Amino acid sequence: MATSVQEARYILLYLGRISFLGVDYVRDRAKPQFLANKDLTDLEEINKCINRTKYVVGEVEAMHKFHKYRTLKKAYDREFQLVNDQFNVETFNLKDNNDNMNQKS
Amino acid sequence: MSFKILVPVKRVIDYAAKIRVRPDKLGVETNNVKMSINPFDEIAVEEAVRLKENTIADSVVAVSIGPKESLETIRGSLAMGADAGIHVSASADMQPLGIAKILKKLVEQEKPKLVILGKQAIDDDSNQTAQMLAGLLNWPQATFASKVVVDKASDKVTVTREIDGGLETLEMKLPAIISCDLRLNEPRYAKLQNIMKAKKIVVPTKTPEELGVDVSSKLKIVSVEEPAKRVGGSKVQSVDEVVANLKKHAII
Repeated sequence: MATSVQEARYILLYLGRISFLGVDYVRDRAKPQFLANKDLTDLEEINKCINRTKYVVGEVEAMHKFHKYRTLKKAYDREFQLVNDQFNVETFNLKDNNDNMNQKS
Repeated sequence: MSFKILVPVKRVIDYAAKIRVRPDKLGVETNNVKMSINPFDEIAVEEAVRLKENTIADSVVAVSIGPKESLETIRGSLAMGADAGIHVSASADMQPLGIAKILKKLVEQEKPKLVILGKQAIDDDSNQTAQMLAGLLNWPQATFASKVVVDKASDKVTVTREIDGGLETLEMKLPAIISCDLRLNEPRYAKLQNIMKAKKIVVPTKTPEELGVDVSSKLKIVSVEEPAKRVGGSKVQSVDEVVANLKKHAII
């Protein structure tokens, strides 16, 4: 069953909510891109955008799984606490195609 | 006989949330703090669901003991693939012994062949519930499991455990209790349709009185404090200074 735009957006924001990034971080970066593409009518273009969202969903999932595993491992493994993970929210960039976040609209 | 797996899950403070000690120093701040399912319990649910998908188990029942917010935790487990849920209404600060007594009653009612738990909860780090439950039921147990292989034909389960010296492999006859460690599996993300379907499943709520369990706490929390702040060390210029400092602090 193909995902609709609403479903793709819901999954992305739901993941933002449960992951360490937070829904605000994900929404601030996702909303401009959704709004910039809101007038598309060609099915192919729309499917491309949905696939892009699915890709970002995969990235957020992977980041969250990794962050969770590393945090738990560090909490219960004294020696591993010396490993420097650099889980900086600022350095994790959601892919911004078409430079939508910098457009003045 | 149908192969049922019972998975107790706990609602704890989210692993990534900042922990703050309450002003009265008797616990940690839980109001307005993000809560979620205990990560080790998530791993337990994932293992149970995988056993069901490999047609070893027939059904998976998720149990949560706590206030009504624990229902969200059960719904999360239902979305991951559990078939049914049971909610036992109790206070949020239950001790492992009380939990184990309630689980014993539920095991006698539900008659599962396997009880899979997380090894410990990340809020109290007791690491006691699985062991206490095994003692109360007189069932074999394998804790800190990093690999579980069930042989349905011979009614046995082979568990590889992570212990201090390395890995230990145990074989137990079913019914048995397994507690999961971090490297058992990677829990899945529930799909949107499954989350919606889980909202419709009816989850019965029971009380400890109904089950005839005495859950009065035998432990009293005396104080909760933050760990001491790390004091920085000092740099020295030469070997003589190192020796002088060591002598000063009476180490040599």
